[in-house]
Amino acid sequence: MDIAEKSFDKNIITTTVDSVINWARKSSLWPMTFGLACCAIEMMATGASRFDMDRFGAGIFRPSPRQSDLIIIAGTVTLKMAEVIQRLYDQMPDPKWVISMGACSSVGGPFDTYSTLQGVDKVIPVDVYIPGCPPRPEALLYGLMRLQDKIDQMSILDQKRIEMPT
Amino acid sequence: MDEDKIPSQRDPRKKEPEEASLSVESDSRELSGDGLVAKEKTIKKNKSDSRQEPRPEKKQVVESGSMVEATRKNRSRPKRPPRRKGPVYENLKEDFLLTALTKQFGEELLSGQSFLKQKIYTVDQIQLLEIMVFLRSDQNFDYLVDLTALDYLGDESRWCLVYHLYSHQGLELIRVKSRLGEGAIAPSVSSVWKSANWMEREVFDMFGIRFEGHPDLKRILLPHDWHGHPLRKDYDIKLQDQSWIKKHLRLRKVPN
Repeated sequence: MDIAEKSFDKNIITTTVDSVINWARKSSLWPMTFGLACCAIEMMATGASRFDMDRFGAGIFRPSPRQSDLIIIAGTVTLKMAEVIQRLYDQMPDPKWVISMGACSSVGGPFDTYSTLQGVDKVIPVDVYIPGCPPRPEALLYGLMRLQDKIDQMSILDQKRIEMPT
Repeated sequence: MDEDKIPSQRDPRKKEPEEASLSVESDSRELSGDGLVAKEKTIKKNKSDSRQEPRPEKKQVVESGSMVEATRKNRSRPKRPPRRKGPVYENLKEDFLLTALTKQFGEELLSGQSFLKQKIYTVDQIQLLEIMVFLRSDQNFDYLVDLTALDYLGDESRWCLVYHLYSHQGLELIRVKSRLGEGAIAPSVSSVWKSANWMEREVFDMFGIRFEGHPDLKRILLPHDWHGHPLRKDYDIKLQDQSWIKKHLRLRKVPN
């Protein structure tokens, strides 16, 4: 690498395809505008100027699953909504990531009842779980940064396994 | 005026040494040696302070003295105060609305109760719709606040429908209750109050009680093909309709 770098002009740098693609992917995570309960209020606060998710390149909330890379499950997932979440996740283009925000979406939270799904990972694969009820915006930002770390370790030769509908 | 009064207030200060000594005595049982001396010093200090501000300091001495006495006398736990009687249901007497109702519909199937000044009218299913129309049109109960149900599992008539009515003119909130047997069909009041439409749908969704004359009786909260009614007492609190889940969700295997 060193030899190659020194054999070009000043403004030319050499790197691997993986690190360029990963750098691009992790720096422009576009989350979906999707909130379910009180966690969504914290998510909105995270997106607003005080915490400013845009600093991490993830502030452009897209109104359509077809334009988003990331879905933040922010709130209680009812069985009725689990069906919708699954459809939305299917509509997102690969590569796609999921953050499970808060106790409810991670394990069901206090709602161990007839109507609530006990953990969103039963219907879609989750990359990062954030504890809290609801988590502070700092926690969401930390979860986002951990997701960026995860994306950084990806390789185009070893792509994230795409889950196909059964 | 206040300046004149201050000397007269200071006069009882002559009693203060007694009270002070009393508190010292009681303290001496708990403390000994240097601690006692220190206590005495603080009391003296209090006295010197009390000359400048007689009122609050004197009060403090008296309080502390009485506190110690109280603990010395009653070593055992203080007696519990007698248990207060809770609010009870009482039959309504000389109630304007009840007399109006009995005049119109007879006494046999009607009764009125009060609980904490809240009025409850118990009516029979046969008369329910007529009474509701009467309350709406004649008595100006123009607002159906809530419509819900109770499950008395094991009783002869299992359900109890509860209507909360409010009159904007009379500024009165009443409750109308009506028992209903299992499998029986209740009359819909959605023709009397439009807001009853969704409330009856919710009662149907949660309890499975059917309403006759409802324009569109279907589930409102749960999915339309859900089996069971979750607020019934014989429906387990954690029970989920597995057949619905199997049909609609693709469950993943979750790694532990």
